[in-house]
Amino acid sequence: MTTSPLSPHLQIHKPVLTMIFSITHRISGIIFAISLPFLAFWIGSVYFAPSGFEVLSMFFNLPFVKLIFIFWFFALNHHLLNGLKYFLWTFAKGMELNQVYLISYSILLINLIMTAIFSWSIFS
Amino acid sequence: MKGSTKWYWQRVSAFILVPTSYWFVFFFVNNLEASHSLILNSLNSFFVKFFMILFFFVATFHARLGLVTIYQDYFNEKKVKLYSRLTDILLLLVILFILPVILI
Repeated sequence: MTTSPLSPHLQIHKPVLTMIFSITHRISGIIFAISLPFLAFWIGSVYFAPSGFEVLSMFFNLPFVKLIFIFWFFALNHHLLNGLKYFLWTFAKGMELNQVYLISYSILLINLIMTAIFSWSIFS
Repeated sequence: MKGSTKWYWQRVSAFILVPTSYWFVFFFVNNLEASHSLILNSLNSFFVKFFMILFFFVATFHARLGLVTIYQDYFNEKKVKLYSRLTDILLLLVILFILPVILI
């Protein structure tokens, strides 16, 4: 087991863009991890509980639940797009401050557009 | 596992998850209103089985690495162990639920 020092409390940091994108990357990752068992159950129930699948599908199609799925997609997509930024950083690309800001705002913009398309797809 | 090994596999799994996650979202949107027989039919295709298994297995692996890293950053060793075990149970469920896709 590692005995690395613990991170200082988040609230002592001044909220800057990179820090916001880092913590939201973690939060969106946690949200998606929590959703995994539910999604796996949805697929699995096709085999082991056909009537359960029908009930779950009905539940997924409630407008309120669809609204949750929009937030779910926004979080997942944020994690994926921001993850691509970390891929660039892995190869030490896009690390200049102006590039970081440009990429980060692009992530937000692309995500909003993609989430709009996702919302339209599940509501139409 | 060494920190650098974790770091490496976190990126390898992320790379696989970029196309597979978007594929899953696409499958999800397409089958949200599908009847049982319709979705069972699409799950019979080798392509769908392959991507489904790849997505859930790699996502589970990636989630385990990521979540434990978060625990290690904010909690003491005792709690890290406890939360890691709880995470294992949660992720074991994911594997159990998705297993019929390969077996049937």
